[in-house]
Amino acid sequence: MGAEAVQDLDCGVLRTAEGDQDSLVRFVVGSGEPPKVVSAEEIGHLGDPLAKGPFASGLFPRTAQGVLDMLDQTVPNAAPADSQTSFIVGEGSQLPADNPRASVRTFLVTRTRVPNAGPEIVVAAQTPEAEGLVEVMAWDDSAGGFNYYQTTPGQPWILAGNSADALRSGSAGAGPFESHPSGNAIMKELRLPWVHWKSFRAPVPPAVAPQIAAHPWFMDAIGAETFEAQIQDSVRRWNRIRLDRAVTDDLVGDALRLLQPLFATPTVNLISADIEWSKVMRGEVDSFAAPIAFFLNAHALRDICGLELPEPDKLQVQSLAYREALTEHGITLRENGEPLVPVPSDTHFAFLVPEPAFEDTELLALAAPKKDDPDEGTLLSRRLIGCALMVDFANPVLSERRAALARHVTGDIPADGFSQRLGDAIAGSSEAGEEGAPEAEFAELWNAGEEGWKDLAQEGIAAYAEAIKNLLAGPEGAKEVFRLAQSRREQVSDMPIHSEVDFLFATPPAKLGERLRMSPGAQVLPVG
Amino acid sequence: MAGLERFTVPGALTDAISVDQKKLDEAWHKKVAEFMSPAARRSRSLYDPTDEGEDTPADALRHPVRWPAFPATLNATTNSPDRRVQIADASRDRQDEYCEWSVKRAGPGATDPILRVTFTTELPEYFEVLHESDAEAALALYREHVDPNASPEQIAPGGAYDRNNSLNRQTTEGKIMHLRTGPNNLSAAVSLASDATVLRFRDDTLVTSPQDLVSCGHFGEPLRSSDPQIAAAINGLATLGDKITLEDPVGLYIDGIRPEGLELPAGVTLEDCWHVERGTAEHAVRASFSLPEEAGTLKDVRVRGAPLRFGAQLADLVRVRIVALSHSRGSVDPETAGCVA
Repeated sequence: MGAEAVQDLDCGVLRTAEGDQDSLVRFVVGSGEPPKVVSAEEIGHLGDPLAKGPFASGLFPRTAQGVLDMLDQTVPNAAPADSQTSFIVGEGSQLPADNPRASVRTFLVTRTRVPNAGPEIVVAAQTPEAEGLVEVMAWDDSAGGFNYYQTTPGQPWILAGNSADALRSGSAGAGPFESHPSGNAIMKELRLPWVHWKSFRAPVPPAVAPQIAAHPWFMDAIGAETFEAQIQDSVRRWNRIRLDRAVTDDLVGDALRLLQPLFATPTVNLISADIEWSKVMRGEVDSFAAPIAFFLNAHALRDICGLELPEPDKLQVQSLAYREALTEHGITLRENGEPLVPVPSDTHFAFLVPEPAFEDTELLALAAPKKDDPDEGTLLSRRLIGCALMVDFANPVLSERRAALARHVTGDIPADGFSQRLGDAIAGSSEAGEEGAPEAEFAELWNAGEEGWKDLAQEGIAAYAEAIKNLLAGPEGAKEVFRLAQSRREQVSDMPIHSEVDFLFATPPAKLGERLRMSPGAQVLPVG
Repeated sequence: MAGLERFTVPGALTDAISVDQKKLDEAWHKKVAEFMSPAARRSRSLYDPTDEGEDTPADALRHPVRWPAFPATLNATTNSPDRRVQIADASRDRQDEYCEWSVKRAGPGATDPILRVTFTTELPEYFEVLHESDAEAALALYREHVDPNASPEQIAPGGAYDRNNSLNRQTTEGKIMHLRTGPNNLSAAVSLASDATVLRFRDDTLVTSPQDLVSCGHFGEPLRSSDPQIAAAINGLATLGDKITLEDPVGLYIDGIRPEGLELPAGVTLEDCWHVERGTAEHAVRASFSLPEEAGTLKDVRVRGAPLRFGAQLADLVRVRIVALSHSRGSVDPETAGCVA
């Protein structure tokens, strides 16, 4: 391929790389470097099991199973076979088996070596033994982070970068880092009930994939609840390295990127209610609890800041009104705009919405003091995290108000007293004196002091919980939260991860095009 | 594989003391047959592997169904991770995923550091059979695992074995012998497997999703992890026309404890802490988590980033398993029905 194609930042450009099938080509999209064959000597410098084993031995497997077999032949201890687990993901796996879109999208096979560190290797492919797209993430002990590889029939293996490239100008957000923006292994539907995944909540019937149903990857596939834990371990592993590298010479470098999770929405996960849509559809339940993360940043405010959250009884969406909302807007699962199932229909589990991504909130958690160990991880104070996230807290994702606070993060900031400096800078800014400015909202909490901010925040959440309950108890409550949910879904559908992976959100025939926000009084209002 | 001669005791246990083990084995076989025979008779797809002519071929497909021991119904009750695990620890009645546990602490307080958490999937039916066949053996197990001073009257007031006896109700002191909570028994699991072989239709549409299937067939609580998944797995095989049975030894087993998210003190491995106490490694029915020889508390263990303070945190990592076998795909025309009114 020509150098001009390197300007194309889409992940799909990786498939255009050419070369001998039995070779490795380094192609970091966005880096400005053209694709280049990796020499045997350079392979020797890579520290991941795929490079140290098969590639160093001149073996270039063509299938996913081949990757695992060749690992066992060459470096069996680098990713032990007895640690292998397989998982099934596929939006279509939860459709009725007679639906033409019913299918398994991907098998994920992982192997672990280090306790509590997540997988050493993740192999993703549609089938174990047929040639096709094979993607591999392999942990590099030398460099830290994952090395991202892929191959397709007729192609060489591509080394598409290391987790660290996700954080470098140029390659950030390009190639595999479109969907892995922080360089982490990801699982978009990370929490119960893991819509789109095989789990104890949603087994994949063999009739959905009869051609593969007798294969060990299918038969022995375990649930998403285990992949969730593997991913959480893995995210902590890479995020710790990120944080360690963030401070050099007592300065926090690239603080703006590091603090993105505090102010902005770099990426999202997806969360749904823990109830099958069909039960809502038939009115088997009068109401269902919407996920708490729809209403505020639950993970950060509860687990990092220690705030009490509204309980499910405050978050009950009335089934009938919700169903009416879906009917009114023609919501169903679609492919290329065409309904796959009759209107109205939601996703397999109802009320699928974006939530703050685990990789982002966990970065904050690692940088903050632990509940039981106040001396560890003190880059960010709970007060700074809490005061920032409580700005426009009713909008845990896509908050322009909270994102505006990032304008006070300038240059490298001394690590010593980092949180105090930043908090003081925001609270002491000229904007903090402007009524209605996000800085003023921040300052009100920040100026309440080390303990006072928490009391104020808790009061705000309690009042919000009551307001939500009142909203949802009214005849229009379910329709209002549906509109807000749809607004958020439409906004994240423009994110790169969504453009690459068809999540099968339930959608209307055309975007509703509303940009909405939630107020602390639980009113759904237009943005702006 | 030839037909199964008799059902094997769960975990290949050999508990008999005062009678020949063969007598106990035979009594257990009869007990399982009491469940399995009628369950198979009322299903076209499920068969009793001990029936004449019901051979299970060697290439039958093995379908392990696994789920966490933590009671999934509690997930809907609170958004507080602390309350979630407190509730689960507080009463065996809430532990309804075919696995129950009890916590032994270093002191009497509810927040004193944990010394050991003991999990069991042992079947109440087995202890009833054991007590009836060999009361001395049943008492010996209580004395070994629950209370060295256990008396016959405590486990069998008036002479009849009480699965809910006073020594088998607790969630504290690590005292637990076998499953006792309402739906946690083999009879219920076998009955579910049979009922789930019926293809359910609603408005001419096949019902396949777990929660929906459980509601449609009135199989119980749709928000549990275990029953909806077992039902969906069996139902999925019945849809393909498979002949289906449960793998011998028929039972509910502790599949193990997942290592993900478990942080142990330096120098301690998971193998040091996880002890299968009854059954075999492959068919464990009782297992505990403690430091070797209980040489200290578990205060330095963390689960998913949080200090270990409740047994239920480990229940999130413990997996329970039942295994179905299937073969002869397409050979059975499964029964169909509408939803139960």
